[in-house]
Amino acid sequence: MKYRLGFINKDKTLTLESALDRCVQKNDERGKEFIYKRYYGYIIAVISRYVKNEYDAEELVNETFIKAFKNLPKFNRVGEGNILEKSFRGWLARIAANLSIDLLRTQKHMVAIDEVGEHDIKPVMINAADKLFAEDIMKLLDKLPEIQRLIFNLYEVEGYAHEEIGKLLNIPDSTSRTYLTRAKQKLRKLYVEEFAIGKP
Amino acid sequence: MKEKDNKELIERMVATLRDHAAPYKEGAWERFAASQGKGKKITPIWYLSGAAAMVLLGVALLINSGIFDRNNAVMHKEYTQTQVDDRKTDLKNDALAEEYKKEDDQEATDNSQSKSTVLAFTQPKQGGTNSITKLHQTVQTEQLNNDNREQVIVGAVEKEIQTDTPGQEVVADDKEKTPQLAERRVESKEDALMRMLSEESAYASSPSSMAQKNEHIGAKKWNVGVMFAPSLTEERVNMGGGVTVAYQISEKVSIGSGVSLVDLGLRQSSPNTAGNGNVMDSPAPASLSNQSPMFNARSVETKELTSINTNLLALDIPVDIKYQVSKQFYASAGVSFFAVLNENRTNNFLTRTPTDRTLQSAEGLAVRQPEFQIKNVSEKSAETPYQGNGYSGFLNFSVGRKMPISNKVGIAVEPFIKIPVGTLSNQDMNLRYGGVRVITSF
Repeated sequence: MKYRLGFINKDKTLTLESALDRCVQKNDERGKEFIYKRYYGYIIAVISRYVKNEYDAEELVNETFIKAFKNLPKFNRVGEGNILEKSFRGWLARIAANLSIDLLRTQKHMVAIDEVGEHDIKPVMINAADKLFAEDIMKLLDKLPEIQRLIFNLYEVEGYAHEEIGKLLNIPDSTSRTYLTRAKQKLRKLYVEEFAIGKP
Repeated sequence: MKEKDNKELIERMVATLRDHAAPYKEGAWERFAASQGKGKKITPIWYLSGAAAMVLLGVALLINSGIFDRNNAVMHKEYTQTQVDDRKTDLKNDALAEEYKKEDDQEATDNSQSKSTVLAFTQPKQGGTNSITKLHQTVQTEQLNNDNREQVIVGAVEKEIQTDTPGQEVVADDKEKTPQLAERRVESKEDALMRMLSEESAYASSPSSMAQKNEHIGAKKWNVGVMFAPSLTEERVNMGGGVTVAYQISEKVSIGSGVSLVDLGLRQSSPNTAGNGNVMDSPAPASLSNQSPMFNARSVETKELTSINTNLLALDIPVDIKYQVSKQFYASAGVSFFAVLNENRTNNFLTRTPTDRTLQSAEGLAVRQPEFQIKNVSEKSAETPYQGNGYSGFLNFSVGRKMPISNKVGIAVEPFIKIPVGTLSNQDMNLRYGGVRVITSF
């Protein structure tokens, strides 16, 4: 008979593999706690790229984990260690992104029209050797029109195809491609304006 | 060239975003688990069932001890009455025997005594004990009517026993010992008489004395006391106090409960710095990584949680089983329900505020000079993960020593340790603590 003596086995180290096993096989709370604490920061970072409201972001994190725990048996476990880690993060990120888009859709934020014309963007020379920081990039992303930011995140970061984005945002694939190009160009421009100091 | 650089920039941006993770927010899991209502569903059942088992055990012992006491009282009464009756009969028989002694010659007396002696010694060796005893009684009754006849019967009995008993030597030995045994018998008769008289008088007054005794026991069964309990956690010395009540189940075992108010101060280092398994769970902010200071300076202000202080004001309701090891020392174990009435949580942060100074280099370019301002900041947190948690509890273990001060007042010193169970063990704080209880009982 196995006793649940929390105060004795609390410090027993879990790994992602063992935590997933415990969740899938026994719906174990310790496994869930491990996964939640380990990926909380990552998930909130993903959601923050879509949703600016802190309260909404926190709610979406919890919704993401609820959905993830419910669908863990469906998660296709491939490989071990870093490979599993990456695929699991990607899986969680997709759930988080989908839920974020759902929320934005209900808030009717998706009507934002891209007002930036192609002629405004002029490629500039930038110092590509500089180290980039997530907070800096987030600031740049915040300056993009919302539709461009979403498409950039979905396509480039989360790895969605244009067809998927088209269905998700209810826009033609070609529009998704166009907005992505504009998003990239504007990001470069903003980067140079903000950070490329010392440019000759 | 430009295209290549631009592509590279986007790729690096994407890679940075993919790897980015914010720090874990303390208490997030607890809130999530609480909202799900699942986090604590299994764990307390074991402990609650354990507590229920202890209470049931206590009740069972209580009921059994009550039945046992009643049986004891009845048995004692019957036994006393039987003893008295027997002794009265003995006395009568003895008086008759005295008369018989006077009338008859010495030989007859010897025979009579040896008869009973033989019977007494052969009884354990004989299978038909009852028949012999009945015969003995018949003999004794007939003694009153006909001495000669009695002698004949005794002779017959002796013969019967001698033929039935394989060891005739035993009978012969007994006959030799008869004078000594007769003396002892007379002495024991006198003792028995004295005892009977004293017990008869005691028995005559027993209802009132027994009632008094019962009242005395009843008063002793319940024990009420006032408790003062200083305790020690990692953070500080805490104070607590309350009332205790104990019920004596048996001579050695008692069940105790009570209620006490506890003020606990706790401190927990941040999981980021505690060196446990959570280190990897909470990725450090990107701006704190070991990168070039130039780019660190660009980042925003960072906060690192270093520790959490919590003050708890709680009601502790224990149920303990106490075992009296010796007259003064006892050991006790049990569980207690822990209801947090008020909780104040303070988060201690280490903040790093980047401050940029822009200098002009020799080439006339603007150069940033990064600087950090590091501060310790304490913020009161609105989180109260313990407050209102229903299934919280402790396992209690203690040993103690009782010292009587006067007839009515006693003092007990009892070192104790409390181990959190249920939701308390799942929290980020370690609530295990110990101390010394000083109990004044009346």
